Amino acid sequence: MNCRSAEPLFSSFVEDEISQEERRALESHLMQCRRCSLSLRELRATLGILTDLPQVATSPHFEEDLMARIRSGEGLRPSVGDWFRELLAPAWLRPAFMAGAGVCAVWIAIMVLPLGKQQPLVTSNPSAAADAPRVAAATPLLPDPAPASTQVAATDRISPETRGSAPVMASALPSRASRSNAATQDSILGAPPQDQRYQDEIINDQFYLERGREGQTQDPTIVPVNDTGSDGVFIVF
Amino acid sequence: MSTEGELPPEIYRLKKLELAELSDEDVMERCALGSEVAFRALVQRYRSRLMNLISRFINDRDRAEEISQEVFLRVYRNRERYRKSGKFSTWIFTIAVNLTKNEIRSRVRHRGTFSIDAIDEESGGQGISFPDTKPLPDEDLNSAEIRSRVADALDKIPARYREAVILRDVEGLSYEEVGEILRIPGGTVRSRINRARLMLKERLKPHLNLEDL
Repeated sequence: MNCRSAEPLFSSFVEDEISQEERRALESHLMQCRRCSLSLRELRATLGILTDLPQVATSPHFEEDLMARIRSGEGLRPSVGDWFRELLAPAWLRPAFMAGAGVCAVWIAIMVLPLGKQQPLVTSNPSAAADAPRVAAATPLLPDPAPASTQVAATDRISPETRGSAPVMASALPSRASRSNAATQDSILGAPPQDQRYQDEIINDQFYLERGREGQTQDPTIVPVNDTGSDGVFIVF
Repeated sequence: MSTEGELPPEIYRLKKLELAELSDEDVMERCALGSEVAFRALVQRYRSRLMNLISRFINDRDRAEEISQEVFLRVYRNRERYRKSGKFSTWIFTIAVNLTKNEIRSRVRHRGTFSIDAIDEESGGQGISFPDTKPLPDEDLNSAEIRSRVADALDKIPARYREAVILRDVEGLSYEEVGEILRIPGGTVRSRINRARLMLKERLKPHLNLEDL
């Protein structure tokens, strides 16, 4: 042990809160080091002064002044400063504050997230439905109003030669009800239909599919979005 | 505060002698029920300790007394929030330390005073020290002089060390209580107290009497 490592142990040594091993090492060092030995004696003397400091007395009328302030009501209600301090006190001490903060967070999340925005709904009018993907294809650098995963899923299967001018059947776009599934599965193509309206669309799509398969004379204007052909999503040209 | 006639008689069956035998926590419990006798008992138990603590911090007797009263007002105001599971002394000293820190900040902001405390508070406890160049007498110091020298020495060490050593060595609180009041872990408490003692030792060295040690 050297002087540098001995000094941090002085307080523990004086208060007898030191391990036996450290005590032996420190005592051995103190036997050899006059400087540390003197320093330890000075520390003991300093502690003696601190603990024997004379008390600072309150004034004789301290208690009566205090009781008078209580009886008058002064100081019993928190001041504006105290009120603010209590308001800004550590939040984990205030369950009500935390509950309010949680409600605010949920409300902000509802307002910020695009749940309230309307997506283009499924329609049987190809010309109307075709507008959205056309715009998306024409301005690829602009942020999409719909979740990116659903847009990409709907357009990923379009062949390069048809992407430029082809109207896309609206059933390829997600309805609001199915958007949560799309988010969790990251692709509308893999998501099963969820509501009755979507079921109807599948029936229509299935009609086109069957027609396309009849006699192997596939209508060139009907192209299944994926290879399985079972998801009922088609693109009509 | 309620009078004797307005409260359940069992509260007032306690004589002062009985209150003296109760723990701080039990007395505080009676205070929470509205007993003025219990509140006065707490004031008598703690007013000197609070006065000591606060005056060591800010070295201003009059203001220390005002802050001590404010501590008791806070205790009374929040008496129903007190939970007996915690030590009363820790609770009341925490209030006192917080009010004292507010006082130091307030002095810096509103009065524009320039002090070691202010520098230390504003520098996040890093502290700054100036050498004490005043000539010091060689003879033993009497009580008032000792108090003055210790106050000077305490004033010149960074606040984070000062508050720890005052709570431990002047008020005699345990390391655990100091840690709870200052909201710092036990290892940090010990480290700060040791450093504070060594700093004080260097400043008080000319006045130490080593003959009896």
